Amino acid sequence: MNLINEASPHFHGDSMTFKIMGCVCLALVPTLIAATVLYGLGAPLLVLVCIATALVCEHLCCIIMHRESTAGDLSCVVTAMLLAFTLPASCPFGIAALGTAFAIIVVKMLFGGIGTNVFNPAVAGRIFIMVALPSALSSYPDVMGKPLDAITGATPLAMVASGAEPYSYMDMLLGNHAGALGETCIITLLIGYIFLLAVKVVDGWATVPFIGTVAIVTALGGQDPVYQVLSGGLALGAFFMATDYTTTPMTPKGKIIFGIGCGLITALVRLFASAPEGVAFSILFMNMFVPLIDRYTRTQPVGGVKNALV
Amino acid sequence: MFSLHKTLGGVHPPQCKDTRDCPVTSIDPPKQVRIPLNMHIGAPCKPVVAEGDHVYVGTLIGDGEGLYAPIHASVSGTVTFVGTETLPTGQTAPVVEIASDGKMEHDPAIAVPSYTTKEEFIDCVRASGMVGLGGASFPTWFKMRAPKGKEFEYLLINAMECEPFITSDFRQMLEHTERVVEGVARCARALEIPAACIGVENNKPEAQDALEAMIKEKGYEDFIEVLRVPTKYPAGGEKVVIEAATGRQVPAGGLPADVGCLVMNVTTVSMVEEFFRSGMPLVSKVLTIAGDCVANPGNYEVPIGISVHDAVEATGGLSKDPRKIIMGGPMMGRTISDIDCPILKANNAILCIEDKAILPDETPCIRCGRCVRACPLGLMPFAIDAAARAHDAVKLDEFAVMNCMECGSCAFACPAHRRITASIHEGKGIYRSEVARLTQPVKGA
Repeated sequence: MNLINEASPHFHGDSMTFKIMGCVCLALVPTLIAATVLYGLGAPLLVLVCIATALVCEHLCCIIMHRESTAGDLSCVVTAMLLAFTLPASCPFGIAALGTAFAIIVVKMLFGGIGTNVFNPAVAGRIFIMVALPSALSSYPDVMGKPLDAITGATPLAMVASGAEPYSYMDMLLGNHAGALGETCIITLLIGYIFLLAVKVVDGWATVPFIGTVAIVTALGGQDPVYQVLSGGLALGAFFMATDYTTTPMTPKGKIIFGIGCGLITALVRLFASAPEGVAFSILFMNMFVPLIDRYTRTQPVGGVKNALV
Repeated sequence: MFSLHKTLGGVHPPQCKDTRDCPVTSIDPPKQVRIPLNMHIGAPCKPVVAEGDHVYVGTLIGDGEGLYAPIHASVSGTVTFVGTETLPTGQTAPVVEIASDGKMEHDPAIAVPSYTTKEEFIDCVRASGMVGLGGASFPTWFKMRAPKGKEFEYLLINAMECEPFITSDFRQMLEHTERVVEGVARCARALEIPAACIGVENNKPEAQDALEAMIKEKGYEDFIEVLRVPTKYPAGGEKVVIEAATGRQVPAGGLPADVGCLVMNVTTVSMVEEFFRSGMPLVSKVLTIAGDCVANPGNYEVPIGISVHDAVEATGGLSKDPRKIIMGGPMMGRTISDIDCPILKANNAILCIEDKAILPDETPCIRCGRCVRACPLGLMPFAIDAAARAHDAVKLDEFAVMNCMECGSCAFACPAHRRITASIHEGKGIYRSEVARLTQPVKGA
């Protein structure tokens, strides 16, 4: 009899990293379908390019770093999908691939890979493209079916900035306007988020304060809070990026602080800065404070602590 | 008297309590038993018999002093070996081997004990050889002595049996309801504890109802109560039981007595009562023998010191080769690699499993926080795990490594299947040796 000898517990739960990441991918699928309907076949193709780049980059990095490949845990697929969602459907494939490679190689793997990266790779990848190749993000294609001469349209926030007539709430919810391919359709993003809540992959500790703070602060700043909440990358960011495990605080208290911080920065950027979009910057900025927030929001051990060394 | 208080964390492993309807049955006496004399926390006993001696069931074979519990022969027959051996657990301990004569004759010297004072009662409990049968194996008599300046306000009977598979405590409550209730009453009265509570998980409503009916029948409602506790692992952790029943938290590094509580396992109480009725010390244990490799899963009463192999064979043997044999439940039990391992006082189950015996490989921590939410003691297991792997004693201290009771909830919840509990266990060793290094005087100073 060849008996295994190992430490307890001998029961493990059913949860697995790739199942969790798979759920997030699944939650993004409705929005991908919406993007295809809104912006044409270019949208899913762009997403596929990003996914392929991410898988190849992560696998190669693991080989170079002499560690077991983590490409199979699907976390890089989540990164790739989220990054692609922040790009216009017209973004050249090469630029999207470059941004993805930067996200995976520099932002994720050089910081130690899954679980140890400081910054959200998707957000950092998007910022990289914005800073290094701004031409790719200078124009957003409008939804299909609009007159050909209006092939690029104004994003809602750009319209507010220019003082033009804003879109209706219904158009905002359905994503029936120009924008990044996965940011505009609020309905499908919400469906995906509710699915993740239902399967207990994410919680609302960061998301609700994030959106709430944006609404309150922009309202105080004289803007229409509903319009502000429905526009830009707020829904994508609050639902899927502020809920990333690795780059956000661990405890509910920490998540609330993180969410309020993100909301505050987003709102301030929207109200006062020249760039209309603040979600990506706010998440990246708050990512830096996660170790600090974690340090001051630790759980309290039952019965206190009896320290001998500290 | 008692109301349910909220406790942190917890997980819901599959219950697998398929043996709950299996009444306790006795097995034929084994040909031999090997009884280690270190079946309790504290100093091992010294053998008081020699090779060739004839012993009966209940004859004292090991005695000691200080923190210990005496050990008695579990079969009648001849002592064939007295010496020190390395046990399959890796520990070295004195062992007494007895060849059974198959008669299971009781020691004629056994008499029903009597007591009048608290001290005499505790002395009797010591003589019974009783230890915490929930798995802790702490000598019961020692626990009953409240430390100086402390007084027990509550007697908490731990009948949660939150580990999957195990149903031996459940059978105890159903088959010996009267003995359990009388045992609780006896301990409460003898130790002058004004209120007692029996905490039972809601997955055992039959036991809850039977105990409540018996308490009523005996007229003990004014000082014994059944506390119905939601089913959640580890509801039966000592600190968790105390918090659930009283809302009090045992201070770090402290004892239940610090918050006025004495916690006893339900089978321990039942066996204490049995000792005061018949005078027979602790010589046998009811085990849940289960798992997908066992031919006839059920609850079996076996003499202490019987080998795992003999115990399983006596119930009908194995139906297929197991990959893992676990002494105790799957959450906190330990695996054995040698099936000649003897059954100890605190064992309550043998699980022979093949299905799901091989656990998934570890992958990197994704900081999801599931371990933090699962921890019943409010710790941050992922951080302790990281500190232990980095051999960082200061960080281990900071994250309160010594508070951990190693219930396994964190590792159960982990989607990366990290062996967090095992790592924390190692972390405790790292921490202890660092504290020892710093507190030991510098040579030549």
